[in-house]
Amino acid sequence: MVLQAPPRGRFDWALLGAMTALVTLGLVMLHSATLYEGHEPFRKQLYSCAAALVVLIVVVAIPYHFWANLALPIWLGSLVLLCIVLVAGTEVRGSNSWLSFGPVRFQPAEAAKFTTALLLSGFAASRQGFVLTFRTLAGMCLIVGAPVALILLQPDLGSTLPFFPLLAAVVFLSGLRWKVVVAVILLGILAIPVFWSVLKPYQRERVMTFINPGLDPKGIGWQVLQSRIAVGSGGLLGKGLGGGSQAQLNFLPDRHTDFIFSVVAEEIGFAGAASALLLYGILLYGCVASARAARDRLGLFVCITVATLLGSQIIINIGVILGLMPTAGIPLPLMSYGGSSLVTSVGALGLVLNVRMRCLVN
Amino acid sequence: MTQDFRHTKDYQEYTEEQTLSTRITLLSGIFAFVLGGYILCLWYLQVIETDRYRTMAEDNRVRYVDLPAPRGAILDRNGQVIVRNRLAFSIMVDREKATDYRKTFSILSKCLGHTPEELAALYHRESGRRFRYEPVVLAEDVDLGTVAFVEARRSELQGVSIGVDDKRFYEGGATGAHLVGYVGEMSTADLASGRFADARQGDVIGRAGLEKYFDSELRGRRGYREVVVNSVGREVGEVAGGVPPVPGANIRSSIDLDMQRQLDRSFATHAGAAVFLDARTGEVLALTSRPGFDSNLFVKGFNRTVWRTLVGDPGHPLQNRVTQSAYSPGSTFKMVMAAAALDAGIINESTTFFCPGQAEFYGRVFACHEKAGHGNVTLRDALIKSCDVYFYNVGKKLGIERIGAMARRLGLGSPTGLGIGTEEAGLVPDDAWKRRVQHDRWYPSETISVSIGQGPILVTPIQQAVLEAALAGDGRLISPTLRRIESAHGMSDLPASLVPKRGDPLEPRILTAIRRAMWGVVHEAGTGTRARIPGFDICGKTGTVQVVAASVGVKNELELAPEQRDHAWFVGFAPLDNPEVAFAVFVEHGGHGGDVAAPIAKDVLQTYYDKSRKVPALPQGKEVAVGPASAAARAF
Repeated sequence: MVLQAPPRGRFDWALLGAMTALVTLGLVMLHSATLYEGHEPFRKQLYSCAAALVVLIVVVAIPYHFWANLALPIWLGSLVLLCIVLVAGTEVRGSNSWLSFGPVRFQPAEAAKFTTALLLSGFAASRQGFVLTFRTLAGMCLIVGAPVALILLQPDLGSTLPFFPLLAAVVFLSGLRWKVVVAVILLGILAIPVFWSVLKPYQRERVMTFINPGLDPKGIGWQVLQSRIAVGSGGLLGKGLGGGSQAQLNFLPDRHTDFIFSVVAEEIGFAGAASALLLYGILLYGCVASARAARDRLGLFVCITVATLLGSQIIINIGVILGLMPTAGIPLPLMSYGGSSLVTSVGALGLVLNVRMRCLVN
Repeated sequence: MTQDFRHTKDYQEYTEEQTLSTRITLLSGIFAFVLGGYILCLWYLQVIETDRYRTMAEDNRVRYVDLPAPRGAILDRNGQVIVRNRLAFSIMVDREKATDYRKTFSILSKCLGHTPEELAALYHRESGRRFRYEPVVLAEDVDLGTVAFVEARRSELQGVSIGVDDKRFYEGGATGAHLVGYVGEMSTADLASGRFADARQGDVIGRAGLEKYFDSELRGRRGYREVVVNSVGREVGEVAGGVPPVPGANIRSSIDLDMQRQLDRSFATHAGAAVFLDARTGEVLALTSRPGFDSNLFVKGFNRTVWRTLVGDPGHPLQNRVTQSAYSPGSTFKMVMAAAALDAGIINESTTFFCPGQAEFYGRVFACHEKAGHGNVTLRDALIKSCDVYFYNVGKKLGIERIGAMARRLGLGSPTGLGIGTEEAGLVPDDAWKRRVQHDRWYPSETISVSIGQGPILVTPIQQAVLEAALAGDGRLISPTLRRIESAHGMSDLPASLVPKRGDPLEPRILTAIRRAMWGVVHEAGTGTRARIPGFDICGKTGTVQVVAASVGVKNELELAPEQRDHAWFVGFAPLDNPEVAFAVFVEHGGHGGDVAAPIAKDVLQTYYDKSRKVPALPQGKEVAVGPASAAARAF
């Protein structure tokens, strides 16, 4: 079946180029952000890049239907890892998010995002007709709900956030009626008070200080303010690599992970930050274009879910950095320090390249 | 094929594809919209508002660290140190480096005299008030033994360091405390007054004495460093910029430290006050007020107990008796009487009065201190023997108005302007004063009392010294000063601008008559013979001020309780020709002026004489290195 349709599509060099550029920019900024703290993180990230390259080659080489057929076992595997992390995880900042295999540390939640996306794509593509039945909807909710529930147990609220746009996008593209879309939005608004009551005090505090940063200028609101100062003070061309006072003098929290974009904005200015955003735009456009070009629904859904996952993480991460959203604890795909996120993001983009390579029409 | 084309499979697929495509467009539209919005947001923050954030980043980055200016030293006229800065060591804990607090406190408790629990409590109290990067001071101004103890255990005491600071040190301790004064931290009122341009909480200013007199010069000007700090405020580097502090100037005062020390030594346990002036320039050579206090007591900060002890002391140690206490001049007033009478032409040098031991004026008998009487006395005899009856007669002829006029002309009744602390004006009475204050007219019999310096006439020791300097000079008043007057021309030819004098000169014949008589007080069978220094023609006059009526008729002062004894004065100048030093010594309850006050004056004058005569030239004291004492030890 796989061999029936030999690759007739084109390799998406633009997407690969944008991805490579973003990872490279991430490495440069990581180096700059850790100038005075030794090169350990930089070295680790280089290893992660090597791992990501291997994953990319493997993912692209084998047609995506093969991966889609394996989606269920992979998804179950990631759920198992999420269970193991609850028992044997390494606690970082109050959450059991990390699994350690010797020197290698791994965040199962990062992997779960993409295994869930793959399974969800396969499930959505397998059903007939463009009318969303309740049964299908329930199935989709189950696929997304299981990992979300396990991640919430860690507890790591931030990591669950990208799952919701993922579910919404797939449901939306599976033929959800407009009436229902409106109803869901309304319900969502009504659910805010309920959601609020579920939040932990520190999470409420984050939201409150986001709404009014003056509440606690030295606490949580301080991060938001410092990030804004870093971005604003960068100016048009930035302060130069290694020259960002906010980044170099520790004013930026988590500057090489969740706040790497602040370093970009501070040290290479509007020119660098806007360029990075354009690269992300090219990346997402490439995903959507591949979705339209895909030869089947599976390819379409794979590309759309990957675009949604990456896009929602980019939007949330940079929204936090610009002070438009409360601190969420979500890495910036491809640029933030962290192997799990890098390898899974590159792997996911590999699937998109895979779909584009194997489409019928160019 | 009647079926509606809408139901064909192809068509359904077509519309499905269309809907799907629309929805994909919608989704990608959302992403494009948000990313586009972010770029606008970046533009707004980074291009339009960038200046604002740049300032905020700069404020984040740079902290200004005050560099206090070391306070200048106060030197005596020959360069000897009176007040300098000393190193003060403190024991501090750096919270970013300290690890084992329990062990730290337990080791430190062995040398700091507190239990570990007390240290822990102190640490927690202090650390709450400071930024994390600021070390917590556990003990201030510790001795060198403690410093050595801590240094020796450096490896065990992680994060414990020794701070070095400048503190004021008064070499003489209680010597001339009123003269030297003391420093204190600026009060909120001082800061609010706006008198100190760059003052900060905790700055030290002169509160009294020389410290206050020279404060603006001693203080110097603070500087600052611009340092780069990280987000917790820890210094991580220094940027160009900042202003080095300007150390306070070392001030050369008019004081002669050797005379000052001798003066305090000679006073021993007596209460009283004394001041020695350069008769030509008005420079204060020595000044003391007893009882005194140790200026070093004020260095360790305001201590309520010490303060209360000083304020509550019945001896009033904080009062500067030189300027703040006015006493009856007693017989020392007789020079004023003589000057007034000679000036008015009522008497001349050969005018005599007969002293039978007492005399009756206005129906009242006024006794002479010599019950047997002095017989026929001239002005010279009257001053040497301190004959009261002579001056009763002079006073009667003069009247209070002419007495008062001469007293005021010689500086009594108004402050001299010495400039340390508040100054009493004293009291020169006349009819107008009596009517104003006591609502009664002046009775001529009161003039008789005033003629021998009793009754409602009050003078301060500094006024007395200025008066003696006037008699030693041309009768004009010099302005006493604590600043050394330096002239390229030498002492003999000081420009008038450096030594401003007030008032009109007296006729030389008047001054000569009085001076010769005063020489006789010391060198003939007078009352002040105990001040005599061979070769140094000291001119003086004793004064004895009755404290209680009890002393009348008592031959031996020692029979009286100390607090009932008379006050003793000895005033004068030296030498007779071209006088150099003028002085006033006052001893509370000292008995007869010639017995207690004159020897004190003699001791100090002897010091002056030895320095100025036996040594070929005044030793030009080497400039002692007294600057920022801590500079060398900072590397400690």
